[in-house]
Amino acid sequence: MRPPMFTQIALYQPRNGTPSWPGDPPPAADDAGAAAAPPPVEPAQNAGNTTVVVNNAPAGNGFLSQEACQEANTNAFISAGGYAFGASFVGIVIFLVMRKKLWLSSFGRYLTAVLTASLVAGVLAGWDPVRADLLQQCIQSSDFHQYVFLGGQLFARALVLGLIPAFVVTFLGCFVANRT
Amino acid sequence: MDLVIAVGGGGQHIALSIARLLRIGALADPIEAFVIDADSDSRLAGKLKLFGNTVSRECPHPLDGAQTVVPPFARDTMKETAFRKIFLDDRADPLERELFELFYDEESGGVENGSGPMAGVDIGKGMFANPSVGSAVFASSKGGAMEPLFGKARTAARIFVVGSFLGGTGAGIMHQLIKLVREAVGPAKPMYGAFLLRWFDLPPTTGQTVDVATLLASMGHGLEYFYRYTKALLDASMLLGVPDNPTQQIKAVPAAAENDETLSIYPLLAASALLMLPDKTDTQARAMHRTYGLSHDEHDPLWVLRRKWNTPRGSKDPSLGARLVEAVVLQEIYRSFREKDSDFADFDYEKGRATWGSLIENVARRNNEKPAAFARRVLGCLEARSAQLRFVTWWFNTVFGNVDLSLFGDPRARQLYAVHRDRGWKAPVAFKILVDAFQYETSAGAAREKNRTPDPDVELAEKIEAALLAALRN
Amino acid sequence: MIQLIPGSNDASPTDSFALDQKKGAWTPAASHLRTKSFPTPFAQAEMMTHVLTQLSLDPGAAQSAPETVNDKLQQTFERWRLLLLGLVLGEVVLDPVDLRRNEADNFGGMLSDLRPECRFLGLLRDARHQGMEGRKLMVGAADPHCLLWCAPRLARLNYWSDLKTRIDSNPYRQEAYGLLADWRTHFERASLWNPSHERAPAWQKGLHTLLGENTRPANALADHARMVGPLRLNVVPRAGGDAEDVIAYLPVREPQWAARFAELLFFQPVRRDAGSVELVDPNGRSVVSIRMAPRTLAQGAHQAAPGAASAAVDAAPIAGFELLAGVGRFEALANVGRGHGQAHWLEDHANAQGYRALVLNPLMAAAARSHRRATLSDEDVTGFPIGYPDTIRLVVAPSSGAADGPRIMLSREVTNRAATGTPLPAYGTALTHWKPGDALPAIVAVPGATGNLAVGLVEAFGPAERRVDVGELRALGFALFLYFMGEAELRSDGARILWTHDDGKELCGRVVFNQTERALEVLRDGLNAVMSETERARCRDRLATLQRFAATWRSVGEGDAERPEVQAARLGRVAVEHFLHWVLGAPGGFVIGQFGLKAAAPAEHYVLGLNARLPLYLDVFARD
Repeated sequence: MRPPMFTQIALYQPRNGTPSWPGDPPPAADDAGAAAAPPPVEPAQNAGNTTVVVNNAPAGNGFLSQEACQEANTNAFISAGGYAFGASFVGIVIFLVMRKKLWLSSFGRYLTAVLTASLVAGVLAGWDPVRADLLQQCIQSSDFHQYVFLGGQLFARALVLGLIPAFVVTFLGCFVANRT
Repeated sequence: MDLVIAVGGGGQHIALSIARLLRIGALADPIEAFVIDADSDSRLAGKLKLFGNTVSRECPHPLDGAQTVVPPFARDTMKETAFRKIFLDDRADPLERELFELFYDEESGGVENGSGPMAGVDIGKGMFANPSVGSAVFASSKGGAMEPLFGKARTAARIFVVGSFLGGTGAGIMHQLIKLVREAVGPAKPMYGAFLLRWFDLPPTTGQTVDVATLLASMGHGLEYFYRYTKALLDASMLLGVPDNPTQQIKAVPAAAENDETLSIYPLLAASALLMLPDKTDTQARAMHRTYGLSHDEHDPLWVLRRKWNTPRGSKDPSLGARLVEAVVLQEIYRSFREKDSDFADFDYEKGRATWGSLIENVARRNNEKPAAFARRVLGCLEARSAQLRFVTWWFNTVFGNVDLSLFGDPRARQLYAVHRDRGWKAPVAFKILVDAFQYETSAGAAREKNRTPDPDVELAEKIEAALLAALRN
Repeated sequence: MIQLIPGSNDASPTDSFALDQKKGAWTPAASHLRTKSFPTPFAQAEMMTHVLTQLSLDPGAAQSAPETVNDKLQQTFERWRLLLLGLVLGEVVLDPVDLRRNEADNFGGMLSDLRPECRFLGLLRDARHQGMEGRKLMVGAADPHCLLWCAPRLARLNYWSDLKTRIDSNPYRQEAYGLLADWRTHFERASLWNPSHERAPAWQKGLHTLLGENTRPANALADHARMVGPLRLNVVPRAGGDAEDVIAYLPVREPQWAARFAELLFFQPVRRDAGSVELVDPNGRSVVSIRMAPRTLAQGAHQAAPGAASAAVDAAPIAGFELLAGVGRFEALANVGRGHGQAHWLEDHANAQGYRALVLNPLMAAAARSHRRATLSDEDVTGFPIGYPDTIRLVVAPSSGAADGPRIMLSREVTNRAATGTPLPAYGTALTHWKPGDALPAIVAVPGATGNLAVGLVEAFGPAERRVDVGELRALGFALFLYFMGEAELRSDGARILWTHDDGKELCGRVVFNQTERALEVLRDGLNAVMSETERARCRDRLATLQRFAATWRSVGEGDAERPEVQAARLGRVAVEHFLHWVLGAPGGFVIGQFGLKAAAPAEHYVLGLNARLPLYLDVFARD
């Protein structure tokens, strides 16, 4: 079950129920048995495989594979980076505006900019509004969530993919901007 | 260098005005002062010496030499302070006694072995509005305390003697001083005088040695003496005093209590002699030894502020009002710096590091200091400078009232003054002009020629102020 | 616009204005005049200047008297008047001092430093009252602006009322006014008198107010005034480049002073030291000392011994201040006018320098420096005699009594009469100025003199009440009469006229005195004759001869007065007329008629000098 906070935002999720890979042929229902997944293997044993069969995948989303989840994970990284940089940009802009207006002290301006950017980036990274269904399935999949970075730890994922990079980038950005 | 010799209380008032005008650029450096008064510990003398308690390491006195008030005679080292005893000892020849008693009556010169009122004037207790005694004491000890003055006078480009014809000390020694200085410097040296006549009123108390009638007698007889002897020693001179039917702005103000500064427009007007008299005295007019007065425009209370004073480089408005506008704006700027002291010290303002930041860092590095700490010391100097400006504008506000100076100043200064006037001043305005001022950093401030070598932070603060003024004027 | 000046209600069209004149409104009210407010030790002098400046020059105007409303005021016009008249009348004496003398110490030095022009200060002392340590009481001093100012400590001694009593009761007060008017006249003649000028010195306003327009000059300054000083006085310069001050001496009433001074020229000048020349009598006793160098310098030169504290050594230069420093001043060491010698010492004698070389020329050079001139001529002195000490003035400038004639040397017969106490004459009438028909002069300068000093023939001298009869002129006339009658003749060498009918007595002729030849002197026998009533009667008995004699001489003396022979003829005519007056003025005398046969031409001449020959007429009926 998805956390309530996402329920509200879910209204803005246009791609619910759409295929993660539109170019791929949808798997046939009768293929479910034929396409019997190989017995689950330990990830360590399965390293290098690109496809896994998700036994407990929800209806209609049963097509998960390691490759797909890994790719979804990569995409998630990209979007998280975007969030972080976007938030940092905002933070730096805030910083520059505050400096121009000489609002607060220098520390306050740094703090404001960095916190704003970090929080935004963390939230965005955790929420990931552009997250693909496949990534969601991968995360929810007990078999494939392992192919998603910190797939099962939302806060950690927000922290690592959003807040921290944004913090660093914003701080550095402000620092550099302040030298001008 | 011009030398201003300020004599007595009136002279100190004019010297204060000159210092104020120098501080805001309405008069041009270099000017040096030599201040003479019998009472060097009065409130007025203290105010002059410390420029209203604003003189410090961070901000020197705007008028060099004004930190010291020299007594006209070495009173402290005199064995006797009774006027009679200065000249007559037990071995005095009868001829000298006869001469002394011929020239001075019992009240001034006392009698032999007299006591009380019959002992004559005791100069240790003051001159008691007795210029004839003051002049004799001064003339008899001219070789002592006054000796440095003659050296300065000889090297000065021009000499201005300022003071008043009221009172005892100034009125007593003024004429003899001018005579001695003229003898010391020769006839070719340009020498001018600005003198206050009656410009304040004494409180109507009884039992005092000095009352208004005494002052007026000193003034009248002093002027008589001036026109007969002293005028011809000066290339030109100016006389100023309260007319018979004065308007509010030019009426005689009550003298300040306890010998403090009396706030009046007259010392300011007298200071204008430093510009007016040389202007009016060309080569031919020197021999005329002319004396001038000033007129007051009763329909324009700000006529003094509209007068042309020194025109600083870059400015297109030579009026005193323009300089006052700059002083007001500078104070706002410095106040903003204090308000945002960390930004100032850490150069955390737009283009701060690229401009003043780098300069201050370089200077700090040369002095083995951390830039921020050094910048904070520079800020301290600027605050001290601001205090001096405040001392100036306070005085103007007292004399002229809180008048609107919006019509004065160069465009940028005028614009910023309008912001100040509309209470719309924000700190970024100050830092913006600070950054803009950086372009004048190399050119501004080079014109000042001082005998001292200031500390780096003081020098940098002077440079910042000069650059700010250049930015305001260009 | 309003002028920012006390006492001004004027509107000003410009933002500044000239203030080259002091405003009257600045002057304190009379009740607020305050001497000590003047910023100078010379405050008393400044206050006197102020008081005098306030005087109104309008005739008849009521003068302000600030002392009536200001009891602290010591300087008043009334006191100024008393001091000035007191000085002229001798009640107050002028005592010039050098303020740089050691005795004046640091107070004098301070005064002198402040006003170098006042270094030589004229102190006024009362002639009768004693002051500090037995000295004459100091009652005031001199000043270039106000002339005189009062000592401020005398009011409580009641001094001023005492002086007023003495001055106002002095019988010679009018003479003093006359002398001051004379003094003023000299300033007027020098174009230095401008009391109504805007920059007029206060003393001129004071003197103008004191004398008014009606005080007439007494014309007595040249004869009856001794000059004291000098004082430096401010004047309105005649031209832009002229000095604003002059050096002038003040007159002190001294009847017959010029004549008495003239006697000094009969004393031999002797230089005693570098600083003075003394005039000594025939016994070698110093009578007068004339200062030729400032006393201070002279003393300094003399008392070179170290530690001579009383020697007022003063290194300050006095060039240009010689007169002020006392050069030319003289001090009487003995009674002037008694027992002088017979020789006149203006010019050099054979073995000794005269007054001109020893005194006059050096003094003229010093005076020239003091008056800021390159050289000084006699005309400069005569043009402004009050600018020079008596030792110059009374030698160079003629006194009024001899305005028409040169200085004369007197015969022993005249100088012997000095014992009568009547001052001896110093000048005789020049015969260039006298012409026939004029009043007969009593003293005549004999023409033909080669130097500045002429031989003088004196008929009588002194004031009417103390007239001293000498008779030299009538004695000369008597000699001419004897020659006319043939009773006298000219000695063969032409040097004497001898009374051949009376044992060849010498009547007149050349004499040598102190190695100097005098062209004509009436000798004792001639004088004795005209003192004799016998001779007078004998002459009167020869009426016809007298008529011819008178007729002869009435035709003599006309012509160009510049010609020496005319002057010599006039001498004879003056002598003859004195003689005739003597003869005819005897008791029972008569008047001779205007007829008689006159002699056609002189028989011979007595030579007085180059081209100056006294004609000797012989009666046509003279017996051989």
